[in-house]
Amino acid sequence: MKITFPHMGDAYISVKVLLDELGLDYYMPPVGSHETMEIGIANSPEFMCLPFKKVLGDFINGLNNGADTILFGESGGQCRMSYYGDLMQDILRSMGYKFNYIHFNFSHLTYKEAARNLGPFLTGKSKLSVIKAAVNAGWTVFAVDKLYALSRKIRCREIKHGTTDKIMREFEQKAQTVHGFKNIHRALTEARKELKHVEIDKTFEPVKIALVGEIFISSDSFTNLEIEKKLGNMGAYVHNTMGVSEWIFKHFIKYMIPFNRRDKSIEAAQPYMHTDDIGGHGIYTIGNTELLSHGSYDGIIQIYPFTCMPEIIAQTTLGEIQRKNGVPVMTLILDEMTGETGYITRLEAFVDMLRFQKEQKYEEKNQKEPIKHPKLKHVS
Amino acid sequence: MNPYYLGIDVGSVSTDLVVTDENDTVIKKIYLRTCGKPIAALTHGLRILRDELGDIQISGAGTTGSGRQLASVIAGADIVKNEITAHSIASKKIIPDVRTIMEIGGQDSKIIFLKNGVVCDFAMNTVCAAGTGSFLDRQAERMEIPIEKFGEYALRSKNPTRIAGRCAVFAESDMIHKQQTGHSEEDIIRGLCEALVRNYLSNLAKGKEIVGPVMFQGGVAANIGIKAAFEHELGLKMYVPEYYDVMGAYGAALLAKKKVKKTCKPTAFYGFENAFNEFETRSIECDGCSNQCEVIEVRVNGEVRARWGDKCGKWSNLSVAV
Repeated sequence: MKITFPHMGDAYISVKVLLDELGLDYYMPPVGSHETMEIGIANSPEFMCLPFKKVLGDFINGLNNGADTILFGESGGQCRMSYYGDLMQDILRSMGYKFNYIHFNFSHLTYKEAARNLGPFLTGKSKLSVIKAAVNAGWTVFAVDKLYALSRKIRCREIKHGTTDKIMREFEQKAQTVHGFKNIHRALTEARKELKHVEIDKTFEPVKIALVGEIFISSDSFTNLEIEKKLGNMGAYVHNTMGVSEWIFKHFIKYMIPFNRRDKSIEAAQPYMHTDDIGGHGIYTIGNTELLSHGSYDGIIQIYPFTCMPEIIAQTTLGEIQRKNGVPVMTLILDEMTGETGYITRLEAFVDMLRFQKEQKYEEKNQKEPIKHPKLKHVS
Repeated sequence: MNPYYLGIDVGSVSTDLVVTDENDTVIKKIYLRTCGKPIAALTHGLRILRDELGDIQISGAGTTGSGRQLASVIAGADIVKNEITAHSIASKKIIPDVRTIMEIGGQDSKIIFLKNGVVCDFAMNTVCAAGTGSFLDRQAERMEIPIEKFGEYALRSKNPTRIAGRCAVFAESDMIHKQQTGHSEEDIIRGLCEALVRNYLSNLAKGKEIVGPVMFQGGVAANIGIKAAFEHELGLKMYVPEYYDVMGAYGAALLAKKKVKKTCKPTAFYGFENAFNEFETRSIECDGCSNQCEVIEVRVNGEVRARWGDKCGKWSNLSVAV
């Protein structure tokens, strides 16, 4: 039995830890490969979203490379009428592949179902080793997200251009090649140490941008054309509201807590959309835009794949939020046809705009101060 | 010797060059068709400038447009800026309190909103090029009407035909259908202008408030039919600046001046003589990793001047050696 799994951003690092620690045989499709994506595009309905095409491409690549078992988790909801994972299976079967499909739908996953699906993998393994593997994998998810968050903080302030990118690239290369929790842990620690030693300009005040939108595109640097890197190198600090750790937290950890408080961002979205769910992560897009446009960020970028229904619904409210709070919101729609030049133009123009606005705000402040306390100055 | 500044806008359809003096006055403007050969168009433009202006001193150069990176490598630039910033800087110079800028070029269209002299919002067409210059060009060609006369035809119409303007392909088939049912050319052209304006406004300005003064620029601003249709739809006067077709290049020249004044460094502009060199570009597909980046290489007289397009910097760092 050989397992394969699809990519979503940096999630592969923790999946690798889990499978390595359980001692299972697996094949990982190449990270960020145009070739696998092309295969996915060729075999998907044209108006399917880019994440679907990318995931399908990874599956085909995995099956072509000797895997016979697919491990796939989706958060489901109303995304494509909950037909996402099933449709993928149908396409693969119609292509003539024979495989074992382990499909988790996290929006209504029960422990019983999880145990039944995972049972065959865990025969002969002690409960303790399984729990240990799960805990290590869980730790990795959060540690990796933390590392990327740190890199975003450093990148926009670094003095020598490209230092952060180099460290992160080396980390990614290591994460893709080394095996086992111990080695991943070491790579993580080394990268964190190196990042902390990067020389930064502490006085520099970057423009702050929050990223909201569809979770796959937001967290997958290959499909979002490295938006975090691009903005960071333009001198903008990026906060990504969507990440794998966020996803794990929402779909696993929150389910374990019996006493569940309503999500803050869902609460914040209520004035604009009187419901808890518009499919996918659309409601979080609205809520996060509202929450983060009260001064903590200079601008917000919504990013989603072409034809993503929940985000199209969410987008209709963003104009209203922008008018109300006065913080600019830009929407970027991506698919396999996206030209990178036009994409960079929009990002650059957005950062320029925010910087000019910020400069103007500071100038106004400086002009106002002497008028505010003319007497104080005179006395001193 | 008086310092002059050069602005270059390499767009998909046109390549524009502007030379300004110390007072930000346009001394010379050149509007050329790119014809898919940006380097040839750019060097041709530089040669014209040298022939007409003689050996003037360029103290700063800026590039903008979709080919801005290539242009900066070929000509040498002190600043490389996106079109939104360049256009807003140029428009502000002409009408300081401008609130809305509409720009329709060959392949893209944009709308820029300003508040207190600072850009506060903008939008660019995303997935569709319907309603941009190339489409109008094509229709004019098909109807055998010179593009310069297109606007006049539209203004002569009393009863515009309704054309489906959502998509360029459907608009064309709708136009053909209307021609075949006997509508006059004038009515169809005016209908097309109105359809394009509707499409532009619903695509770019949806849910956004358009406040005057409004400036209209880009190649399509020469079309009085489109201008009239905008004014009719918005109920606002559209100001078309004198150099409407080279506003991006003008903005780039202004930005270059600002940058040079700030840094006090000598310009990175290679000089007009540089335009007589032999330029060669080629693309390499790197097989170093699964990214398979397409690397672009520019050679001047056989020597590598720059490389770009790689994600990891393996190739672009090499160019420093030259």
